[in-house]
Amino acid sequence: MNKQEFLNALERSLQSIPYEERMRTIAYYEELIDDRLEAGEEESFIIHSLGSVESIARDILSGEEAYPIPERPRKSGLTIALLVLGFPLWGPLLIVAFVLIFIFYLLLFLPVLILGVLSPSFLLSALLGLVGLPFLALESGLPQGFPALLLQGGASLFLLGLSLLCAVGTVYTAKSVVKLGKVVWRALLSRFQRRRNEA
Amino acid sequence: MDAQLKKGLIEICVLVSLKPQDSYGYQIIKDISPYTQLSESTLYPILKRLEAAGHVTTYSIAHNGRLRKYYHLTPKGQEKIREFLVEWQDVMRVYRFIAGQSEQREEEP
Repeated sequence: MNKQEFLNALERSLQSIPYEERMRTIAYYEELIDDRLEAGEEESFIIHSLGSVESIARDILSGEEAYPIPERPRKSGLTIALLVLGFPLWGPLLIVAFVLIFIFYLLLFLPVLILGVLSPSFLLSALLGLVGLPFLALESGLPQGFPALLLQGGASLFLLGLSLLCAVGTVYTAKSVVKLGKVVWRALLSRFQRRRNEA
Repeated sequence: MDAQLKKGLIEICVLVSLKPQDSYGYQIIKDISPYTQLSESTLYPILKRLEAAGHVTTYSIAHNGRLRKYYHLTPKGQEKIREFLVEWQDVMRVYRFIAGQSEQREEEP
């Protein structure tokens, strides 16, 4: 972990404290790391000596009695009654929102699906082409059928290559889509949490 | 050492280290660490508390293209050091009594 990674990780784990306090903490650690770098210490050694981000964050969060999480206002009976009465209005909207999120997720996986279907199809075509070679030779007779054999053999090998490429592509896109999904999810969650803390 | 006691002692150490001149995080740690083990993460809440209590004030100075936060000892902070010295005379008296008694007991048998 280098300095920037350390500071980023620290900032992420301090999402629940007020923005200004968070920035002050980050500035404090950044200044100390810079001062130690200036004194000639090794960056990785400094980061290691600071201890884990988790334990630092835990210490800071446990010392934050001055910033209690504000209690959320109780829902009054009226609000609940209005919510129930308004269900025909916001119910369908909620369902649509869920469906949209679901479709968005499916769309993310579309490239994976396409590549995943292409790969076995190419493989099958390549195998058929290769298996068909002796039959083609019998049909057209050698040596006059040789150009046709060459063409089919070459095309089959080409398809085999495409199939391999698609297989590799499937694995990589799948991995990155899963990662992207996680990032989006975390961003959504952290925004929601921040809003809750500010409320 | 008891954690609460150690925190209190480090507070006074930090205040005293600011007595000759204003100082910054890294320098404070360097000044104090020969006497008691002090990490960056221990110092941070202590500085915050001292500032909140009005024992120190802070200001920033540009250094090598970045900001460095300096801490300045206030009269209130100086008062806190004096209080500590007076209080701990009592503590030292008790300490001498405890140390003396326990030595005698060990010599007896």
